[in-house]
Amino acid sequence: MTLTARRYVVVVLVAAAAWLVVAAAALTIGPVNIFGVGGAVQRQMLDGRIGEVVTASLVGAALAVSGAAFQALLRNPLADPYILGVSGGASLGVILGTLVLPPAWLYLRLPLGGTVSLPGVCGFLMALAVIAVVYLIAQRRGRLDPYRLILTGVVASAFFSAAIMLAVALAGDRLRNELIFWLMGGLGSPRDQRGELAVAAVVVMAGLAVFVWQARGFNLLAFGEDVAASLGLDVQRHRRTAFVVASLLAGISVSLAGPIGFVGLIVPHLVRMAFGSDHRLLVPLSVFGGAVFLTVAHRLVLLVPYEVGGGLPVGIVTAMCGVPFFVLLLVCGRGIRGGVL
Amino acid sequence: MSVHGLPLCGRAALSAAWAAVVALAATGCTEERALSPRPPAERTVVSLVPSATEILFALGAGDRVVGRSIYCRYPPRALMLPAYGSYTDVRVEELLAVHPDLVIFNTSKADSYGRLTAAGIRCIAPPTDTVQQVYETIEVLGAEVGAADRASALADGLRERLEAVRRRTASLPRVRTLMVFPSVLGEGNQVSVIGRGTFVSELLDAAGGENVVEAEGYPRVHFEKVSQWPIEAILISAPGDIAPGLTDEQYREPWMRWPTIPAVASGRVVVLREAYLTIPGPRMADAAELLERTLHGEAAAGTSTSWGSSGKMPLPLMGRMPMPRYGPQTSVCPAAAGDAGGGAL
Repeated sequence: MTLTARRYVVVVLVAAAAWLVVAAAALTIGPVNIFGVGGAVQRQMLDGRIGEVVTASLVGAALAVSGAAFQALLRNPLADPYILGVSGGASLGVILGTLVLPPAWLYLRLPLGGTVSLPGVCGFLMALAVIAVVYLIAQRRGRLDPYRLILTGVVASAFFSAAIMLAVALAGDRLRNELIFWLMGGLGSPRDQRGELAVAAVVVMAGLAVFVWQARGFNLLAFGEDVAASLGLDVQRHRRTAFVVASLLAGISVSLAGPIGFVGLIVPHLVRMAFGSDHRLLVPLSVFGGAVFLTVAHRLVLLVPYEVGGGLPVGIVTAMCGVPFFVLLLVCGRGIRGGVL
Repeated sequence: MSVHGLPLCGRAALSAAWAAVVALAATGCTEERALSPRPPAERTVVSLVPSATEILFALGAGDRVVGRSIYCRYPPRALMLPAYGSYTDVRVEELLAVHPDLVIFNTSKADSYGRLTAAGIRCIAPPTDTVQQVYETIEVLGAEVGAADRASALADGLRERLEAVRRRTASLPRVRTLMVFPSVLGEGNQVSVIGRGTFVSELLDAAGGENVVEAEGYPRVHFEKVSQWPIEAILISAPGDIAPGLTDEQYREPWMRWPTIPAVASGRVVVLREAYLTIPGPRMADAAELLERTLHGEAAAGTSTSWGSSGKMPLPLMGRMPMPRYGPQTSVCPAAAGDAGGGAL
């Protein structure tokens, strides 16, 4: 496949524009008609919605590109950002932080305004720890083998899901309900999250930049390790970087919004089906695709009136809307080509 | 035990002996069963519902309560009892060993309910979703433990106190009130509110409030939606015994972002730490009186709001108040505490 610079720029710019349009439209959609309220209320609502849309976009982008990276790294079409236990670790960190930290510390006010949720920070630190542990177990003399990595990750994942279940079982009545809802994934916060979102945005952008830069390496790896090496790719270094950065993205998205399923699995596949499996396009398109997908899913959730069960976790919608769409593409479209391997 | 290799007659003898043992055990059981329906005044009870536990103690049957749920924390004496699980997660085997005469459940749909019933232990699950049902449950439990008279007296007393609250607030302007359960972890921008058809909502009604929530039950509502309601007072039910608790200020913080809600503008966002507010038991009259005090101030004397419409909280509200745990605290809302029990909000 030929990817000219012109095509690259055009496709990426169109995707970015699509995201901007969706984000702007999302600001006008919500539980309340924002045009029907007065100026002061309108500003408050807009403030809240910007927070929601930014969170959804950041988390969606991080998950989608992390999923694309894991699918390429592990050479497994079923890989998603949560496969290596990083999200389990991050979730456990958030839950333990909530259970253990003194109440007054749960939300720290930043000097510049906004608050930071310390359980979220615990989640991120835990994700870092899990990345280190999984890496240490999976590597052999500095070599990272995808099969060892996936085995280690699945075991770590199983361990953390057990630990989460334990924590949920031991939590009090009311907190347990909240934990369960949180584990289904939610977006936005009634608190002033600006500080938190700014930090997360920097980390996510840096991670995305790394993958854009690494895209060619993923393409080479698709030919197999030996071919990639003979074409001049430092395979081990590439794998290490991809593993760490993809895990970081997964960790930060869980810390921000809880484990939202399916985005990281499906968005890269959708992009592949539509635009082929060249990672130079796949990575940036997954970024915008993930952002759009999660933003739209979240807006859909918000449209459910509260009398009939509003306040659903967005993770339910991502799966329920994503699966039929995925099946439709699979049946009617070109299907999943060997883009992953 | 293996009987292989024994001569045939030996096997026959063994099985005969086994039959005898089984028969003996069976008669033993029936004898015990025959003893089992003790007179109500001697029955032992395991209560897996906080409100039922409180009712039993209030009826003077506390001595015969031999177990509780992990949520039953009042009266303090109940804490000494062994806990046999949560609402649905019940340690059936231990209960079978204890073999109480009565087990009180939150729901008859629990798996353990069926298992205990099948094992011959009487189980009941009296509903307490409305105030009327609470009275009925008190009478039911009174009959079960042979304290019918005390039960009637307790129910009548509660009825009278609630009626008194209702009378006192009848002539006062209704305060449009939103009652919420706070979120500790992220619920997104959603908040869990107390809707109609709940006994708390009824208490609020008696206390001269008007629930702004139209829906039934405990729905989750987006802050945007809530901001459109004409709310004059927001009551945050955050019992001190539910970990982890935030400070009052932290519980109020999400609301401070919506200054156009009248309650927020006038500073009527109150954190109520009393666990009994949401327990449909003998302390529900306390809860109604607490709501009355919170909404209308002591004796509705018309004491002016202490912090007007500046939107600023008075100092006593800012810090973290000591968490009242159990016991019939009467003045808990911080303003009331600061105002010698008389702060109208």
